[in-house]
Amino acid sequence: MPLTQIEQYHRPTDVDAAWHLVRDGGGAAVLLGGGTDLVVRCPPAVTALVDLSEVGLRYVEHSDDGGLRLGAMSTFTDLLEHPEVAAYGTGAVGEMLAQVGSVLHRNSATIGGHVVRSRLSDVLPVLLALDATVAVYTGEHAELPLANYLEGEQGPHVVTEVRLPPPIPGAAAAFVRFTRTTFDHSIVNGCCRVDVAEGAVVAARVVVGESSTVGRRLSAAEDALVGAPLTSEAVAAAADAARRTADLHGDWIASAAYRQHLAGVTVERCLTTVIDRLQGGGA
Amino acid sequence: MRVSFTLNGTVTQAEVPPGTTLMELLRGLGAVSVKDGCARGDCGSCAVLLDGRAVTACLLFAGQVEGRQVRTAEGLADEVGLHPLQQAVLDAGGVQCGFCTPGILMAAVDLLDRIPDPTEAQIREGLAGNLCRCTGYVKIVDGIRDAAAMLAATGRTTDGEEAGDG
Ligand SMILES: Cc1cc2nc3c(=O)[nH]c(=O)nc-3n(C[C@H](O)[C@H](O)[C@H](O)COP(=O)(O)OP(=O)(O)OC[C@H]3O[C@@H](n4cnc5c(N)ncnc54)[C@H](O)[C@@H]3O)c2cc1C
Repeated sequence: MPLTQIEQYHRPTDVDAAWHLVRDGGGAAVLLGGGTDLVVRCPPAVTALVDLSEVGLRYVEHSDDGGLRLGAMSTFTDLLEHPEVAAYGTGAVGEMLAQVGSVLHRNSATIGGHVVRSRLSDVLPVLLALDATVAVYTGEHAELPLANYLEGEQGPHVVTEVRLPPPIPGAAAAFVRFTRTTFDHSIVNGCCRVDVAEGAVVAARVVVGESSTVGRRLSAAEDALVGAPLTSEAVAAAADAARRTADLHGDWIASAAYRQHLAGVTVERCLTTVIDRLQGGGA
Repeated sequence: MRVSFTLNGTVTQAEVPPGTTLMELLRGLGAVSVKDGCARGDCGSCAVLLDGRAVTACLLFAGQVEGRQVRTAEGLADEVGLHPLQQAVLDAGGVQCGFCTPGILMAAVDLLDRIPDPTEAQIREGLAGNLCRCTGYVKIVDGIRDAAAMLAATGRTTDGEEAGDG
């Protein structure tokens, strides 16, 4: 059955026109990225689709500061096949992208649509751990940290880019997810990034997520790492902190207790890989 | 709304309601190899190639293929006979009820275009979005491996072109 509620299909050719269409639509018009979420979950009030295919947001570029700018309409396949994106974060981005859904869905799903949709995500824990930012257009261009973007109430806006900051020397990251089958939502997922200078951890990101939440930083686990060398004792302490503080929920797939346990395993495995990657020369 | 695109090499125009999915558009045009399995991206039986990459047609709106190239399983065989992938999967016993087969073939075309000589693990990864409830996948994987060997032996790509220049 076609979505009979849809009466109009717009194909604007620039971001400003797309933004005007959603703003003026007052809830009746939505932006269309890859469509993998919207086709199934189109809100009943929506009567117009604003297809972003022609607005020129499918690219990967370098930013002036040495980071990467991922155009919002880049598909996960575009990003996975881009050597610098896949290698970003000592390979954590590529290792995550290769596990998102199946190839069928990576070929359509866009990074822009993903951050807007913000559910059931393997992508967001990695982007959070890597301090990604989001570029949005609301009549003017602005950039905000991904964490703030996810927490805030966003009015009508176009996500134009997801940005990865310049790589940090002496930093390494890793992603792990647990699923029942390859092609299933994560029971628990997580990403850790550790920045080391002169033999000690100077900054750490420990992000753990689950099927229903976006992933959040666990400050107790991060605190267990900062200020000391990244040893196996430090890893065990961080994993223990994650197990105690992750606050994950139970459902028909896994109990809360099992998820809490997996939070510790996730952090331990990520950090063990981080140690390997740091020894291999870091970023 | 009017959608203009290339379907299996033929310039095609269709008039559809704007909320139509690509799966509905293609089936309406007679490309009934595009199966309506789950209509939510879970089963892969509606997989088609969009500009050469396999996607689930149920999760795209028809308007998203404007000006683009779509290939379905109808576009695999030519007047001479079945496509090597079709023949190999058939010969290996990879077809039972057949419902998942067209989607699997299109995912396999995407796979072999990227990785002409895939390992078993790569074949299974390439098919992770396609469900088959009959075969247990073993024969399908065998068939795709045979197809890869057949294409390599004849020096052909999945398009039937001579391999080499890309
Ligand atoms: C079968 C299946 C399996 C999946 N498996 C996984 C998985 O394993 N791991 C995982 O992390 N995710 C998974 N997902 C989720 C998937 O990654 C998202 O559905 C996808 O990234 C959404 O992107 P899209 O471009 O298709 O969004 P769309 O469906 O086009 O849009 C989603 C929302 O974002 C809005 N929007 C789109 N683009 C923009 C923009 N540029 N600016 C502002 N608003 C915009 C739309 O209006 C809509 O509200 C899966 C999804 C499916 C269907």
